[in-house]
Amino acid sequence: MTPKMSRREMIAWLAAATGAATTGSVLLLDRPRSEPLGGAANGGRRATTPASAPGTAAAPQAVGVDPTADTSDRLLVVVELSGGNDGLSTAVPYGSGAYYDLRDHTAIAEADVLDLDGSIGLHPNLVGLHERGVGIVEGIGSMQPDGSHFEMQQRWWAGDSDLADTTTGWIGRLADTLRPGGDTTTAATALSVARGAHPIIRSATGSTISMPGTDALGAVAGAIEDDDRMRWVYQRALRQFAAGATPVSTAMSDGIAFADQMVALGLDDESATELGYDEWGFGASLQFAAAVFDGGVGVRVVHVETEGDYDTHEGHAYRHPELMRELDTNISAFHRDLERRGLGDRVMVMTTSEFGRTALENASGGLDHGTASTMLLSGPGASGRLGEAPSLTRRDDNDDLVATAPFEAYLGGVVEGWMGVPSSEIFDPSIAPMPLF
Amino acid sequence: MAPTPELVESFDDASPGELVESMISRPDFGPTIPDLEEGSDFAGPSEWWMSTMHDDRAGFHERMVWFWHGHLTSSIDKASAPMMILQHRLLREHALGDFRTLLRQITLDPAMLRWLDGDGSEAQAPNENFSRELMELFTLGRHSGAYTEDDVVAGARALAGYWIDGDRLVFEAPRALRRDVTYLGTRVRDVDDVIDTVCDHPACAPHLVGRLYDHFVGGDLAPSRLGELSQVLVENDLQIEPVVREILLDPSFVDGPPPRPRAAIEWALAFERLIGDRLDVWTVQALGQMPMQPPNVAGWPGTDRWLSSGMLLTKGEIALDHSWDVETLDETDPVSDVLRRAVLYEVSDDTLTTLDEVARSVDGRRERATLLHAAVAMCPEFSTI
Repeated sequence: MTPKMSRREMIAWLAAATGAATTGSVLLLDRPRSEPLGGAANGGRRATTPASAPGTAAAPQAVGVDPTADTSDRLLVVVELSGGNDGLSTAVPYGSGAYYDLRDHTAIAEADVLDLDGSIGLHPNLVGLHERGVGIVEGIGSMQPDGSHFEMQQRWWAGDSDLADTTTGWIGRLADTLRPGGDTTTAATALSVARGAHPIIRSATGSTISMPGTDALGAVAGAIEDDDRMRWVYQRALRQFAAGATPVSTAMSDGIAFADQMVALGLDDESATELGYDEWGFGASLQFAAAVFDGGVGVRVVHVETEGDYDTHEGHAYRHPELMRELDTNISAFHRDLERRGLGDRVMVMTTSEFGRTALENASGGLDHGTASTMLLSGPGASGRLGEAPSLTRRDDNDDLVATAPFEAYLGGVVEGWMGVPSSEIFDPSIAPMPLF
Repeated sequence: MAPTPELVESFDDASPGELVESMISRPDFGPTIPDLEEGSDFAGPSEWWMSTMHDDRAGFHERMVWFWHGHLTSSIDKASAPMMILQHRLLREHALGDFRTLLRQITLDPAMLRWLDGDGSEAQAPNENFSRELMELFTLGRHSGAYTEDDVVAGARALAGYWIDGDRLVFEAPRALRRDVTYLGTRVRDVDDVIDTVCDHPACAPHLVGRLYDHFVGGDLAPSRLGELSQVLVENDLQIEPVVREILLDPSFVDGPPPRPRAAIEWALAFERLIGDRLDVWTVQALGQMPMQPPNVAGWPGTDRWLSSGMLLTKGEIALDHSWDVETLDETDPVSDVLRRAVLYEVSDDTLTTLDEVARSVDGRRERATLLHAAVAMCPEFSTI
């Protein structure tokens, strides 16, 4: 007699499942989270008091960072430039003849550069950042560089060149540490503005959340008209589904808790259109971040990706300027938004990118995968050349730049210097954090 | 890609082996592939493919085409609609066939040349993009230690010389390599040499097996099993069908492949079956998995990326929005009726309780139909496969 299969088995075969990611963190239906959040889906959580009401007059911006300052209300935005951003085009070492020797087609003329110190300046499209002041951190990369996007992204996301343990990302570990004393009443301490679960926010205590924007919140927490019984029944059903202990239920309940808090604060914000954000993509993500910070719901770190593709294997000279415009326009609008919300002195924006580009161009007017790159810090008191410029002439065996500091030192420098969390709690303790503030 | 209740129930008396064999042996059902013009609608190829995947006749072959489109990736973001269709034909033709042929043809495919910048690459200062991804993603894998940065450059040089002139592929000897270079320890001169060298490399079969296993099963693959499966692939001259059969008939699958979150496209296709209607392609894009628009050259994210609060809330709005026009139900047991349409045969008591309460909470037949379909689409079991 042929054995019968369960219907579930049949379906699994018939659907010919796609497999788990190779990092080994597959979430199976029957494996509950290690630390269940307290209470039912819509109980046990309360919004913290909002830091300030939206629409108050902008406070004067702090001009420097006081090292003795209380860091407990500081906020951080991590802007990921996916694809590998060319540091030399971002902070242009125009004072070096070697720069012009390397780059026949992609070099930026000295006259066009926005000068910083007489030998280096910003890309011409970084106008807003130049006006506000920006810290540039040169020479950041891996001490054992790798030309693979995916390898390098994994290292950056894990905050560990050795990839010893990818069950957490560095922002996830930071969120776990920042979450006040195991307080599970806040929905999340770190937010990834994305639909899917980003490895950078993998955490041990479920202190992080992925959410693409305000549009997604309506399904579970949107206002219900008096006669809209259907929507009421639907929302109730979703909340009941969220009450289970499985990973799906938990993700649902996290989403509902976050949505409840955000919706209660009101999300309509018409004056945002005057701030100059791009309407969608990166601009919309930063706009959401500003609203989330202002809402005081407990989120202190936001991870955002830009829209444009930095992987300029071809056509670098015409693609990179638009990437710089996107970066500058939206970060500048974000700062204006924060100021009008009274948050201007609390938020630091930092860029990351998995690697820089080749020192030499290819024949497609492009730059292939490189090594060290230049990161940007934009926020209260961030200014100056904060890293050590890589040599343009003494390059590695592949003719690429040699990093002068490991990326963990950069990330650790921000975590410790801005957020007040010792770098050794998040990153390899043997790597000293860079002094950046 | 999303089974129907009728199909599932037809296997009630079958063994796993019979089910898998029946599945694999169903050939490409041969949909009519449109001839799209230059300048035609960006969403055209994706819309057409969604409707193809939705077709009841689409089976395992369709899943294989989906696998290849996520493995040998290109995107409508950089290639034109006609180019994506042309590449799609290639994937359909060779999905269960000869990998070496598929790889050679896709190397000179216009969409791929555009996507990974082979178009216009010159040997004296080549574009490294395709050469790197050929080894890292398509054939050898990064962790095998099989290649070096020098190999990336050498491969790029040997692959150079091609460009796309309107709709023709052109090879220009002056842009190509003039003499042999050393690539993966072998002397090579041109595309054929490069393809043969990577295919013959000992790291190739294990890498392909790993990707296939990850796609169809997921979880850990024991080294001994990896070795066995690689042997099958090599002994069959890199023909895909025999090794896929071996993977699916793994003796350790006592209870079938392990459960995991549904990818967005799977949820979308299952939802279409549930409501008996189509989603438009922009909705599928909003879910993050528009066919022919993978986010990067690595294709689609791994399974665990699909389980998140953001995904669930995004689905929540879509589920309610699209359930308004569903057929009315078998009123004697509406919950069971919808669960069967959802191909959900085993749900938890909690889920059943919630659904029963939904059914009791509204009076109108149409309202009940709408709410039950939307609620079932959002129950935890529907997000899992």
